[in-house]
Amino acid sequence: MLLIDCPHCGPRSETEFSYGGEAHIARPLDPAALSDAEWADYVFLRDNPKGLIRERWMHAHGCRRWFNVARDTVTYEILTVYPMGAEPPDLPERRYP
Amino acid sequence: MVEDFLRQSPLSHLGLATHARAEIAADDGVALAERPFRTVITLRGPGGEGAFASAVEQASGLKLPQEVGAITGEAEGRQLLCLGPDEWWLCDGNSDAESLLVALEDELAGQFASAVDTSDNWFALEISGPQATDLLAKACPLDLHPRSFPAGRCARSLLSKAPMTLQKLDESPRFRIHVRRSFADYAWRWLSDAGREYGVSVLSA
Ligand SMILES: [Zn+2]
Repeated sequence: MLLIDCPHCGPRSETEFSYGGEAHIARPLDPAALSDAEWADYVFLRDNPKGLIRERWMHAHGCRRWFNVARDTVTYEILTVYPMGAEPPDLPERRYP
Repeated sequence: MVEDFLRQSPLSHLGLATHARAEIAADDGVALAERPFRTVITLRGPGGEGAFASAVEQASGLKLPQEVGAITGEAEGRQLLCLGPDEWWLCDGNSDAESLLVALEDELAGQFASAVDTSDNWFALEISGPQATDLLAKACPLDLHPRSFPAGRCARSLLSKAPMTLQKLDESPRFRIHVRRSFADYAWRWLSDAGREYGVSVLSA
């Protein structure tokens, strides 16, 4: 069970949150100009790193706000929490074999 | 506003009045009481000490709490609960929301804000008694220790599988819980069952 540090409510149990997938994926400005493969990449394909991931969470059973989390998928360590729209913080990449 | 003669508690089928008492029995650890017809007005608007905060203060007579989890006002009277950075509840023990709503709409005219009467969406109950915190801890992932959740604080969380808004009214301890009306039966039965090891008194509404 993760203990997630909501920027508004403080540390809360994972069961109060809903997951929003990988963060910082911008919607293409002109979807009609994309090939099917490029569109599929935007809609379906996500990184699945063994290491550092930046992802979105929403405090569904709390303040109901979205925010970003940088998390290590191996150790489950939450490295930092930052607001929607903010530049991703500069963190050393983590990759495990 | 719903006519009084049409209003029914969502727990009316349980016939709680037949075994309700005035206070907790000496050998019981927890007491449950339904509080079915409280006023809840959901307020949305910008945080901070701006026009929204002063409009709400004019209409309600209460200062707008700015920190999520903070409450202003009196537990038994009118209260403002800060539930999110731009979301508040204005609660009142009096079931007539209409006059409050009219005052709010007047004060908020022209602002990018909303005040909606959601009273009939909610059902409140109170948990008290020496083992009230133990009972609640079975249902809820919050840290309920008085050092992190003291009297006068509120939080939205889960009561088992039901979303709830929790406030701690005093350190006796006594908690007030709002769940959606359709979760009233679930919440009541869940707490009654989980409280069996402590002994549960039902207090009159
Ligand atoms: Zn939160």
